[in-house]
This record gives sequence, C-alpha cells and structure tokens, in this order.
Amino acid sequence: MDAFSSLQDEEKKRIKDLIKKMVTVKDFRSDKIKHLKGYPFYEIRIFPHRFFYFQKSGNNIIFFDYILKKVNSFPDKVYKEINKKKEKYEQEFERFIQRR
Amino acid sequence: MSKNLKDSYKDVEDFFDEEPSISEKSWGVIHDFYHYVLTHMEKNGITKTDLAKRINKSKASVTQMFNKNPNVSVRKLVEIADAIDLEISIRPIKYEDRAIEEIQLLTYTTGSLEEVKSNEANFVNFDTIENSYKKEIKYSKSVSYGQIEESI
Repeated sequence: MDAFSSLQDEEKKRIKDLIKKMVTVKDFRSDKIKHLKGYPFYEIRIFPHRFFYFQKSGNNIIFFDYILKKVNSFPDKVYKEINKKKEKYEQEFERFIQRR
Repeated sequence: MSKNLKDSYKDVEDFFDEEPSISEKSWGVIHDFYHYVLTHMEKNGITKTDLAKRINKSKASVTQMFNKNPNVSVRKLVEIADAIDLEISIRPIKYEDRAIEEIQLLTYTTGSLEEVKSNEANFVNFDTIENSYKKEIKYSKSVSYGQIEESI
C-alpha cells in the first residue's frame, strides 16, 4: 500500500482506475498489463513503476511486489527472484484460503 | 483484529473510497477505449504493426500512443478506431451494463512477507468486495457521461 500511496498524483489516479477496471471488466485488456512468458505472474508497468501480481482461485488478485526502476527490462535473475517471492505468497494465500 | 490489520484495511479502503476526480474519470475513459481497441485487435488478429501501417505511423509511435495521457484528442481516438474498423460512440451508461458480476474478490497484501506470514489476516480480504462493488456502482454512475462504449 505504501507503494500506491507514494505515487505522484496522476500516476496514482491512473493505476487506481486500472485496478478498478481489472476487477470490474471481464477479460480487461491494457497495454500497461504485461505478462512475461515463462513466469506465472503479471505486472502493471507504468514507467518507472512496476506492480507485480498473480491471480488465484477465481478472481483473487494478489499484489505481492513493487519495483521502482527506470529501465525497460530486467535481467532474468530479477524475475527469478520475483517468482520465488510469488511462490511464497501463493503458498501463504493457499493456506489462507484453506483456513476460511 | 490487530491494529496493523485495521490500518491496512483503512489504507485500502481510503485509497479506493476517494471520490474519483476528473483526471481519474478521464483515465477511466482512456482505459476503456484501449480495452476495446486491444480486444478488437486480438479478436481480429490485428497486430500493432498492422495498426501502425494503417495509420501511417511507426510501431514505436503506436506504442507511445498507447501511453497517451488523458488529453489525447477525440480525433485521434476516432482515427485509431477507424483504422481497425471499430465503430465507437459516446453514450451514457447504466451500471447494469457493466460486467460487475465478474467481481468476486479483490485481495490485497500489505506489508512485508514476514508480516504476512505472522498475521494470516494480512491478506486484506476485500470484504471490501461488497464495498468495492458498491463503490464501483457509484463510480459507474458518476461517469455516466463521457464513457466510451463499443457500438453494437
């Protein structure tokens, strides 16, 4: 949430509306939502902000990482690290779902 | 409920609860427009390179165009739509038109992974779903004019 809060006003409005669309429009398409081949997560890329999320058990959208970086692409090892984090969050989320 | 969690709920709620400004509504119109354009292009096998050729621009400028701020001109929007044979119009919408039945759950994580692990409820369950639902309805109504919809 800190990442969202610290955004510049215009970026915040843009990302906020994008998230609203993601959860209210079926199969919402945006050029700002990227899916890297080979990795089971998505990113919202509004330069230089990157919000990483995955979708699980229907329409559960879990944001699990944020990077602020003025580069177009990262080396693969960065995505591997992000993926490790995603797996941990996914496990925790599965446990969370089972408990409910 | 821990104080931390209460704060998390409040942060998320506050973030989505603010009344949308003109700027946010404008982003909404732009996001809708590109959603229709990208969906139409995907359905019809039109690539960005195809679109670039059709409007006499480079692929890079098409990509840049998709990054436009909400001040993109109506003429430009129509030009893009026309190039891919997509008819668009502006009309007021009712909230029933929205695919809101698609909302089931929006879950957020806040804080570090360590915090999440130590506190199961740190997955801020948008029980908020329902609130979000209501907010979105309110939001949809408030943007009824100026919403771009794909013509049937």
